Amino acid sequence: MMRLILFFFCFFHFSCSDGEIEHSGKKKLNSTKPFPITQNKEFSAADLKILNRKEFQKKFVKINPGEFMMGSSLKEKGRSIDELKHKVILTKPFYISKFETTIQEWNELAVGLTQYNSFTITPNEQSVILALYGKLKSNKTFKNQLSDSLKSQLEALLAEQPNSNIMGLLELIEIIDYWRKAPENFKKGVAHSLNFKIAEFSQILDSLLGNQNQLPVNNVSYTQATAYCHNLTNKAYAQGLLPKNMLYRLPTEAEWEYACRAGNLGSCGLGDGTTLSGLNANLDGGLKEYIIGSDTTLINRGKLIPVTSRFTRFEPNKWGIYDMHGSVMEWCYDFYTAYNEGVSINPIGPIRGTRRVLRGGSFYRTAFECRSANRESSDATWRGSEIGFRVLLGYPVR
Amino acid sequence: MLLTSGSLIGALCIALFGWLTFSGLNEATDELEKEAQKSGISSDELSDVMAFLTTTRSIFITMEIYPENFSGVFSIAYDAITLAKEGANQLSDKYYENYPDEILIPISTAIRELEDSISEMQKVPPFQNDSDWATRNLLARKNYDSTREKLKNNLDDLEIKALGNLNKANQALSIKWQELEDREQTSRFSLIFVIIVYFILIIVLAFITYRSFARPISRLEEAATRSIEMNQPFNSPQIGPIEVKSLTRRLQGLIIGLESTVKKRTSALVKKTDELKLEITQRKELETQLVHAQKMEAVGQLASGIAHEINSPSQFANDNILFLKEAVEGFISKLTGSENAPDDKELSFLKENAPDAVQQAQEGISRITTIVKSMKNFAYRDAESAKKPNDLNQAIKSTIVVATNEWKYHADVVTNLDETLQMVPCNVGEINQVVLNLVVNGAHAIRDRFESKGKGEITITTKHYPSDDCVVISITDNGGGIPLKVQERIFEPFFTTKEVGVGTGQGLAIAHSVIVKSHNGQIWFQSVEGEGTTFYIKLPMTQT
Repeated sequence: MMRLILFFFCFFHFSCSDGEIEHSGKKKLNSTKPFPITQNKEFSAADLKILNRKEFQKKFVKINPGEFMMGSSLKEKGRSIDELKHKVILTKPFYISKFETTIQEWNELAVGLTQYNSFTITPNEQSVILALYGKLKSNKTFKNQLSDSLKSQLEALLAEQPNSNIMGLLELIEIIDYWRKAPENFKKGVAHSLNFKIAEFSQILDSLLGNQNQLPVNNVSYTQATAYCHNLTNKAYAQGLLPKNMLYRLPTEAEWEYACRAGNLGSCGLGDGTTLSGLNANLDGGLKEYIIGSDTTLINRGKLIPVTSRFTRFEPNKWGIYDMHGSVMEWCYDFYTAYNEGVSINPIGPIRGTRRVLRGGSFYRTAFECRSANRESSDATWRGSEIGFRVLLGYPVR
Repeated sequence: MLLTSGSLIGALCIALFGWLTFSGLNEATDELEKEAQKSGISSDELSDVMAFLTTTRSIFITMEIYPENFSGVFSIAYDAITLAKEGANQLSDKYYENYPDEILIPISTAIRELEDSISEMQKVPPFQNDSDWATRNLLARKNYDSTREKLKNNLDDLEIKALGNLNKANQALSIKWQELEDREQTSRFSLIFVIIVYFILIIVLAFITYRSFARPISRLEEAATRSIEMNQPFNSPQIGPIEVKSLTRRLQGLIIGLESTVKKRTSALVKKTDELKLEITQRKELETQLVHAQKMEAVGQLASGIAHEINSPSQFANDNILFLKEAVEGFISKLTGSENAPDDKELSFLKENAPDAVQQAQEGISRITTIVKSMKNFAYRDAESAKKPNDLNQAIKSTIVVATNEWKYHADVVTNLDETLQMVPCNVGEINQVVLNLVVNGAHAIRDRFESKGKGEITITTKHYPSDDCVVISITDNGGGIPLKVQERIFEPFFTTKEVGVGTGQGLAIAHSVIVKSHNGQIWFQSVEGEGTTFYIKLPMTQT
């Protein structure tokens, strides 16, 4: 009896749920947008003249428009859930910086706070600096110019006080500045006292400064990074070095990943895209299970190392871009949100949000977190020791 | 039947009603859901519009709060412009229905104009080394101001429209919600009402069913109880529904059939029992006859030996009697003074030897008497296997005598009988036969072993064990023993190791049957091959 009733109930239920399949209402679509996406433009001769300058080409690399698969496949090692794979089309060419913004570049534009780190100097470097300092002290012209902080640091070093082998970048710049300004005779005296030639002595000081000056800038917020780009734009404009309608800005997330992949679909953009470890990027490769590929050398440097062509230790990717993986995380233009499915053209993320995207992982992260597709995000005002940025010269994002 | 069909129809009705109500409710819920979706879209829409408004308005704010000579100002305004553009694109993408070109195009045009004028204002000396710069800058600023006012109004309109949209959606939603609630309320009430009606219907039906079934059945039960208690024939009025009537009829038929069957079976059983009893009596008779026949067989076998036994004393007695006859004749003739009278020498010889001759003749006769008595004792047949108290020792002695001719050429018999032994209740004829069988077997075993080269010994003992209230008879021979492989089988009927025609194989089987079955005793043996055998017979002193 009960079964019969149950059966009838089921029957009725199914028969009425059959009709419940809904057809989503048709949505009228707008064929033209208020601000339509502009197509690839040819650079004018005047623009090309600016863009083909040697010093610009040294720092920036041209990325042509194209399309690629953004995000990661489900099989990718270390994948996160927010890396939905979807097609992205970029319609405008852009020039992206080969290197992350360095401390020197940052300090030259003086956006917000200037960055002067402290660092340890080796005994050899100490002897060079103390030799120079000794001569400077006894020189009539330089004696009065020496700053107090420089004097106190180097006196402490002379007296071999504990922890005195730590030197500030500002003081290093100051003393090297004196060396550059000094007359030939003075230089000769200093160099010969240590059995160096003047050029050799200059070389040592240069590399000492370069190693600190060419570190990628960190502890930078999104707003500071944006301000840096504005200043760069203004400066270029004032110098007449800004191509028409172009400006310096942060890359959008899509532009960043496109440049990072350099045509690779795998975990990383270096080489053939299969290996990512402490050997080819500055990241935490100290654990075998957290590196990608078959490398057996486990390296975790645990610190930043200088970038720029003179000091870099790694190979660039196929398109000639350095340090996309590891080193410092790089601010991107977009607010952080989940990817939309389907094809996106020049995506710039949502128009409202609180967190900005960070890409590329850092020296403090494992290879999994430094993959091309890996996404991080942070509040726009956050300044982290592993966060820096990379500038891009391109057309406005809209 | 009534209940089943009633409840089925009721359930179907409820199901139908429930379905109707449910589908009605479903429809209402669907409508509400659609409305809610619309409203959700509207609230999403509102926040998107608000975000757009905020970013667009932030262009004005940026331009207002920063000093004119701040180098970053235009770039920051530019960021706001970028977001405003993207926002306009997204609004047009997502909500084209609500915000058609008429609304969005003026706004986007204004934003573009704003951008143009701002980028013109951005151009600062000394790079622009032309004299027109100042006027163009001024114009741009003017343009910016007017565009800004226009745009501001447009934005306000947009905001009002967005709020209106949301409001409308919310109102529609609340109406639908009210409708749904009302509907739910009514359908809940009607459903409860229908269910109550259904249960009442079920209860009524159940009561009717009870009345029509339970009462006839209880009557039936009463009738059955009555018929059992009063021992009356089962009789019940045929009332109630067809099923119960038919049941009553069938029950009556069943009971009548049952009674006749029982009678038939009982008479057959009685007959069988009688037959069985008869058979048992016959069996017992046969068994007794078998034992007796075997005894007679033994006696037959022994007969020639016994004849021989009797022969010698009778010969002996006869010789003495002949001598006595001669002596008596001599004395008589002497007394009568006959001339044939023996002389004095002869007389003195007769006088000397006559008493001895009498003595010896008497001995011979007495010897014969003993043998005959023993035979009589042995052949005694108890009536119906009754167990009377008997002198076991005496019985054993008789048996030894009867069997004398079987053993006396091969063995000596030593008896070691318990003189304190009381009368043992037993069928002495049967016990005699058992002992005879064992003695004869022992004698034969000794004969087979020594083959007339020497003599063996048969020892018979009786011993009373008061603790166990039993007597144990043991018969030991020092013959060849029983071979190990036949030891298990010796009590089987028809099992014999003797030549065909010599033994029947019944002796030990009958011994086992007599001791174990009819006397509740035990019979067992110990045998060492080549050294001899001892048979033990244990008999209880009291027979139940």
